[in-house]
Amino acid sequence: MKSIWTKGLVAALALALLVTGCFGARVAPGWAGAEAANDVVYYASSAGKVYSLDALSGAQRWVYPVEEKENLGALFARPIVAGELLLVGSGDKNLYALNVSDGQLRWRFLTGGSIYGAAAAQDQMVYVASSDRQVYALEASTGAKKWSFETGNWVWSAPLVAEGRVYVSSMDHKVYCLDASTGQKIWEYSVGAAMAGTPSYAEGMILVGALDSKVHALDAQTGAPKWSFETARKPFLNWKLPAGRWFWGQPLVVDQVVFAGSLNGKVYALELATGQELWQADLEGPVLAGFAHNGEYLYAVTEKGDLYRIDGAQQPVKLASAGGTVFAQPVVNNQIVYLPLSTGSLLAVDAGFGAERWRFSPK
Amino acid sequence: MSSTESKPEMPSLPQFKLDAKFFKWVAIITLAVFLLNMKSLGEWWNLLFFEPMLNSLLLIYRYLGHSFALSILVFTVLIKLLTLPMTRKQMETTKKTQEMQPRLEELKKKYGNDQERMSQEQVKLMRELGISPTGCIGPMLIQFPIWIGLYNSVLRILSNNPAQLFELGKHVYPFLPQLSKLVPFQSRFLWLDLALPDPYYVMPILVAALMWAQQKMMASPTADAQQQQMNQSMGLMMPLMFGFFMYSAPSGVALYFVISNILSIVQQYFTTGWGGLLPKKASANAGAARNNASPASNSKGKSDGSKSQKKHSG
Repeated sequence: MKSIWTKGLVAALALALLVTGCFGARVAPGWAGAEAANDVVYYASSAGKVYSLDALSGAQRWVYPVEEKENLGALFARPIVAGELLLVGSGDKNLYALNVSDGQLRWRFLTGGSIYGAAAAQDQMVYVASSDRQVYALEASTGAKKWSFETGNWVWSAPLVAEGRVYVSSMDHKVYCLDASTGQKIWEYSVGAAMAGTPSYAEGMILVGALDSKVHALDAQTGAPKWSFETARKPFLNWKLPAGRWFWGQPLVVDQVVFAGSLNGKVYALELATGQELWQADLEGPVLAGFAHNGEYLYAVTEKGDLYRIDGAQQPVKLASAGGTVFAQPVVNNQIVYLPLSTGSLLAVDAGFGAERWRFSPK
Repeated sequence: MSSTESKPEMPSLPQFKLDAKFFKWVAIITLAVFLLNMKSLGEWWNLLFFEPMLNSLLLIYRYLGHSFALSILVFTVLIKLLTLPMTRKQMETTKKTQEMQPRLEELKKKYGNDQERMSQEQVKLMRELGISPTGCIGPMLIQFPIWIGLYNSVLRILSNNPAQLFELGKHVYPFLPQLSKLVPFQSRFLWLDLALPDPYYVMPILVAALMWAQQKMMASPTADAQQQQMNQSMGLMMPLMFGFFMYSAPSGVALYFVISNILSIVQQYFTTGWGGLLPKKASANAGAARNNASPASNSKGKSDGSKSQKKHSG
C-alpha cells in the first residue's frame, strides 16, 4: 500500500512535468507595437489588425482591415508614421501603407518573406527589410521598388537611415552600410554574432546589440569597430538568474549615454565615446524591447510587462504592471506611456505615477 | 441499566500516530513545497529536461560541422546508449514472452474454464521465467520526456521568427557563450527544412512504417484469435498515431524517430530475430543464420527454448 502511494505521487509529479513540457513550446503569435503622433496612437495588434486610437481616451477612430474576419497575419513590426502614411510590415510578407487619416490602403508591397522589423522613411523613400534576406527601397507615394540589396541571411530589424545612408543589421552577423539612393554597398562589418535588433546612430557611430551578449559600436563612415561592451558572465550554478544575456532591442542614445537592455534583466548605461559602463539597473526580467524617453526619464519594459522609470543611476521605479507579456517597445507621448501587450491589448499609463489611463482591448 | 450500557458507541476516528511513516510524509510534502516554491513546475521541466537537451544538441551542432541533421543523429545514438540497459531488459522480456507463448497456450487448454486457476498459473509461469508484467513500461515512460524535450528543442533551435528565437535565448546556458554565436542555425537537410513538416510526407510514412516493423518484431506469436486480433490492432494503431503526429511535427523530430526506430530494429533483431515481421519459415532461417553468427547467444536461447518445451511436455 505504501509503495502504491509513493509510486502514485512520483507518477503524478512526472505526469505534471510532462504536461508542462507539452505546453512549454508555445510562443507569442506576434509582438506588434504602437506609434504615437499628435493626438493619435496607432496600434498594430498581434491579432493582425491596425487601429487608430484617440491618445487621451483610447477611443477607436478606424481599424484596418475593416472586415471582422480579415487580418494581416502575425504582426511583429512596429508601425511608423511617414507623412500621410502609416507603414506596417506583416508576417504575410507585405508592407502595408495606410492613410493615417482614415486607414484606407494606399498601396502594399509584397516581399519574399515575413517582415519582422519596422519600416523607415526619409526623403519620399521608404526602406524595409524582410526575412527573404533583402532590404528594399520603395517610392513612398506609390510603393514602387527603387532598389533592393541582398544580405547573407534573414533581416529582422528595421533599416536605419542617417546622412544619406542606410544601415542594416542582419542575422548573417554583419552590419551593412548602403547608399540610400542607389542601394550600393559602402561597407560591411561582421560583429561575429547575429543581430535581431535595429541599430542606432549617434555622433558618427553605429550602435547595435547582438546575440553574443555585446553592444558593438562601429564607425559610421568606414565600419571600423570603435568599441564593444559585454555583459558579465554569470556563475555556473546560479539557477535563479535568467539564462540568456543577449542584447536585442535598439540601443538609445541620450546626452552622450548609450542605454542598452539585455535578456539578463539589466539596463546598461554606457559612455558613448568609450563604451565604459556608467551604471546598470536591474529590472528583474528580460529586457527585449527598446526604450522610450520623454526628455526627462527613460522608460523600459520587461518581458513580464513591468514598466520601469529610470532616472540615471538611481534605483529604477516600477511604475506599472501591464498584466501580460510585453515584447514591443514602449512609446511615450504627452506624458502617457503606451504599452502594447502580446495578448492583443494596448495599455496607456501615466508617465509620472504609473496610473492606468485606459486600456484598449479589441474583441 | 448501568451507565456504560446506556452510552451510545462512538464512531472510531482515524488514528494519527507520530511514527516514522508520518514524519516521512511530512518530509516529502515539505520538500515538494520547497522545490515548487524555489521554481515553478515549468522551470523544473526546463532545468531537468529541456535545457540539458537543448544545450547538448547545440554543443553537438557546434562540434559536428554545423549540421543539425547530424546533431540529431548523434543525439539519438547517445540517447539510445543511455537507455540501453533499460531497452535491453525490455527486449529480453519480449523474447521471454515470445518463448512463453506455447506454454501459455497449453495452460489455456488445461485451465481455460477456471479463470482463477488460469491466472494463478500464468503468474507462476511468468515468475518462473523472470518476466515482470510492468517490465515494458519503464523504457516506454522514459522516452516521453525525451520526445517532448526534443520536440521543444527543435522548435526553439530552428526558430524562424523572433518570438521563437527570443525563447531560445532564455534557455541557452550562459556559461557556454559560444553557442549564441551559432544563431541562425542551418536547418536544411536533403529536401527538408528540419524546423517544418516534411512537404512530401516521406518522413511521417517512414516513421509509421519503421514503427510498424518494430512492433511486428516485438509481437508475441499466439494461437488465441482474440489476443492475435488485439496484437494486430495495437501494432497498427501506434504507428498510425505516430505517423499522424509527424504529419504536422517538425521534420527534425520525425528524423529522430526514423533514426531511433532503425536502431531499435537492429537491437531487436539481435535479441529476438525478425519475430513476427517475416513469415515463420523465413524468420526461422534468419534466426538460424543469426545463431550461426553468434553461437554463444544462440546456444543459450535455444537451450532455454527447448528446455521450456521439454519441461512443459514432460
